[in-house]
Amino acid sequence: MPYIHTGWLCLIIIICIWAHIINSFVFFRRNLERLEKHLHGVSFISKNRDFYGESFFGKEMRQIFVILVIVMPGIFKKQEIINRATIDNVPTPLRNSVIAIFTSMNFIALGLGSLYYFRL
Amino acid sequence: MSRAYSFINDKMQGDNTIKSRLGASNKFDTLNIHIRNRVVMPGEMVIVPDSSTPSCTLEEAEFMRMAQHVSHQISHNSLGSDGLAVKHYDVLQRMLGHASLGIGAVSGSWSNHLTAIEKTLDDIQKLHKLSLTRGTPIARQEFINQRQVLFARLDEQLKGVARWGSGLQNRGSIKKMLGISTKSYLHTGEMRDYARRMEGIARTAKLLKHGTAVGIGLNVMASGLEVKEACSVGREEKCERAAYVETAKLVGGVGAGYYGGKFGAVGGSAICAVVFGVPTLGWGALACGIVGGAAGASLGGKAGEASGAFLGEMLYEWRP
Repeated sequence: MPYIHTGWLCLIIIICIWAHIINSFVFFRRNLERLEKHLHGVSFISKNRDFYGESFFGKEMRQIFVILVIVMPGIFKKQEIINRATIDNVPTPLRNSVIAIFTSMNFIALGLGSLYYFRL
Repeated sequence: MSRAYSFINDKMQGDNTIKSRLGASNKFDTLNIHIRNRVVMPGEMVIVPDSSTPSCTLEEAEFMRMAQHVSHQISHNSLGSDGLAVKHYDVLQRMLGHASLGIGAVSGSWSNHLTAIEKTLDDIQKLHKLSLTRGTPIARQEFINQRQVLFARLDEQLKGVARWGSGLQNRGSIKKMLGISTKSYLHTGEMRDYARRMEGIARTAKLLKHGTAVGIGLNVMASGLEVKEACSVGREEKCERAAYVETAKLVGGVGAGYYGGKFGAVGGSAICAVVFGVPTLGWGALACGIVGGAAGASLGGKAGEASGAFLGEMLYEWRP
């Protein structure tokens, strides 16, 4: 495998981070309400909406729970059983976009962690 | 060998009181010009001079500069006599550091949580006022029942880590904790201590809400200062290099700090939901968000700054 200069790796990771931040910001700005509407069957999603409100950071916190409910509904089984049908209520393109955001989040974290640990 | 040191004043008191307590010399007045002849606010720096020399040392000059800056910040941000900034200094410092950029989501929700506490306190105060003006035995029983409900809600809101920033210690009876008593209310017609606490909570909530913006501001300022310092040395090469490195560090640190905070908050919430089965609202969720967000932001910010610095060096080497 060819050696890639650490500077290039840093540039790639910083671009990826900013692209991810901007992408997810735009996506959730447009679709957060829609996603929450589709997930109305999950009681804590609507409670979260009321609790965290419409502020910028309130929306950020709501996003976190929307992502977790769509990607890993099983983790909330101690709090509430989330049916597969509830998740299927969300249109496929929206669901796939959320999964893509979550996946890219993990890849970037892995990349940044590896870069820091092995090269910096 | 004696040397100068400084400490943070923890309560409102006159400068003469501090001076006589320390048994300080005239040099104390010269060094503490920022607090001379006035009441010293909690959070302000007090410099204890180096008694081995009558002249001002470099260290003392540095302390003076810092102390003046701190005093300016305290008066500018109206961080007044309640000592809130000192009491929650450790928390606020974490909120405002470079890594704090990413815990914006948590600070926002924490601020919401404090606003909810403020609302409960407000309800308790309203209930006190209303029932004591009515004064009948039935009204009194109703008042006690309603107050019990509100106290239970407050108790829940102040569990564990969730009381951070509220300035309230959840120990003993709630009445005692809040410093309210029906008797004192009847005498004075108001709950002074209570109003002071509420004001303090409102101010912390406001500070938290703006925590990320202040964090970004501090980062930009720190980078600007680094560049300015490098440029003031007079070597053009060093100045240009600092501009490249510090700018890239800022871009990397801010982005990765914010991203890391969000990633940490997602991870923290998920782990808590699985391992501890904490509810998605309330103190448990807040604690998980704070811990996850702070850890993620701190690591992300650090890695992002390191990446930025490396990238800056590379761009500087490759500049045309």
